[in-house]
Amino acid sequence: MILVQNLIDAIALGALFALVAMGLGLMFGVMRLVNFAYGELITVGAYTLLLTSGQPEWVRVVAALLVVVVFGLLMDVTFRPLRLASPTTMLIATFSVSFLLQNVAVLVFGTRGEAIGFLPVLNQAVDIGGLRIRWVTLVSILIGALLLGATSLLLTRTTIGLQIRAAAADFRMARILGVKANTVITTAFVGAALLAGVVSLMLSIQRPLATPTFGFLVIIPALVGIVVGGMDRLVPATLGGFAVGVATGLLGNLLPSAQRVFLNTALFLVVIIVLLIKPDGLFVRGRQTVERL
Amino acid sequence: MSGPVARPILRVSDLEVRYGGVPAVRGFGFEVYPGEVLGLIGPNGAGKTTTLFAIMGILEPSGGEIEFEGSVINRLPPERIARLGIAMVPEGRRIFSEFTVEENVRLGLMGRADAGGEADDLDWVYSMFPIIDEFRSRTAGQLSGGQQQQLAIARALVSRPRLLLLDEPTLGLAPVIVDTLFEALGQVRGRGVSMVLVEQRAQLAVQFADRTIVMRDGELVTSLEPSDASDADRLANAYFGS
Repeated sequence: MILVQNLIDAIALGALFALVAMGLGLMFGVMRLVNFAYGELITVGAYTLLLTSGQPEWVRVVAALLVVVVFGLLMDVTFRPLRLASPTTMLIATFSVSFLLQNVAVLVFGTRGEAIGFLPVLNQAVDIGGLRIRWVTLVSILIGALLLGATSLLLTRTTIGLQIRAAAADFRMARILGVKANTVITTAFVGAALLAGVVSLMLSIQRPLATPTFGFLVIIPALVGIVVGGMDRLVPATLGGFAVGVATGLLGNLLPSAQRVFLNTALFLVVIIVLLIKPDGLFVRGRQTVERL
Repeated sequence: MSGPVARPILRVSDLEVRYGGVPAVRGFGFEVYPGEVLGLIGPNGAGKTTTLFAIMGILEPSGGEIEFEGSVINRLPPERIARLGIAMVPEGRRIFSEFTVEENVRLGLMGRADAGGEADDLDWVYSMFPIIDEFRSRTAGQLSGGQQQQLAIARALVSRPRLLLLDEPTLGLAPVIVDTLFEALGQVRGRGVSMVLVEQRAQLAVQFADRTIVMRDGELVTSLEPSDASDADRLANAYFGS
């Protein structure tokens, strides 16, 4: 029974990580950009909730999503000129923005962490067939599934989705055919920011303390998930995020509390093994032959 | 079709394109008239693909001018140039192999200047390439090389371009498929679409084109007429230099 309950909690965490992985994957697809600063979008959402406390909850939700999208657009503007720069340059640029935003948060809010107090009612547990499950767990799974479904419908069934996929597969050819580079990149950034906004809402209920590293702590395991799943494909990347989320959740609950400090050690050990065995990612099939010389 | 009185649809003058500091095209120029098929041949590294890339807006020229229907397009991005009415079938086809055939064709619609007539052009393209029509829902990567080339041309044509740039469309294809391809290109010409055809099968290009120019080391060497196609010596001289 306790195992089932742990599993459900782990799936909820997996759903959030999957959303984060999908957001990272969207930006990577159109810009070949590994955006470490994506975590700060989640942090920005949490602080917006904090700053709007006292307002009606729907106002806080709208405000958080709006502010996150605005920051997403700012990141778009910041990173766009680097589109043709080397991967190293882009990586260092996103790192810089990430640390800059974290340090601004330290300056403004301090490192101690402040209680967000967003929809605490969802932290209450409900009894389902002997299982004690928190509402936020159910909501996370539901919203995660809905958003993942909606995003994949958008990508596979709409014209802008087709253009985003084409840009991710072969940006130059897409532009030759008339796909507007700027439209595609902005759409991907807005989409990714909205996903970050929703993740930030869910996390603010589960981990109700806003800190400067609120989002950064999520982004690292999600990035691990993307690499494990397969970086340059959205579905494998998302599955990877989900898998790492579930694994983190399960290990976190199953390990005796004294051993929990080894959680990340165990996680990264698995990552190294996966990368040694399947360097292209766990969920990527049928790759071309690797040239050895 | 072509004539000294007609205004060219494409005018390239004094084109210069550099990779780093190295010039790949230097002082190259030519004109394409409405409805004309211009062959562009020359040995590897002559600058043919570079020239097409410059016209399409993928590479920015370091000098010279590219004029399409009277307006200078040098500094426009590819997506704008596509909307002006230029389409390209790049070397190696560059189809989206993980997408369906139909999705590939639909991507060609992005370069249309107007939404009107989409259905007509789709019909036209699908009727020109029945095999593409038949395999609409297949993954493009499953098609044979010849079919993929047809798909690449179909994808370029649904945007209803007035100028089609073709880079080595027959590369790696069996002779019988080359025939099919040129039959289709004949239909495209019948619609009045102008073309610039880069082709390593020199004889084929010279035969098919209204006029063929030869490029070597980034420069224009000579110009050939269809009647030169049967003159092997003249072709070889033009190509490799005498």
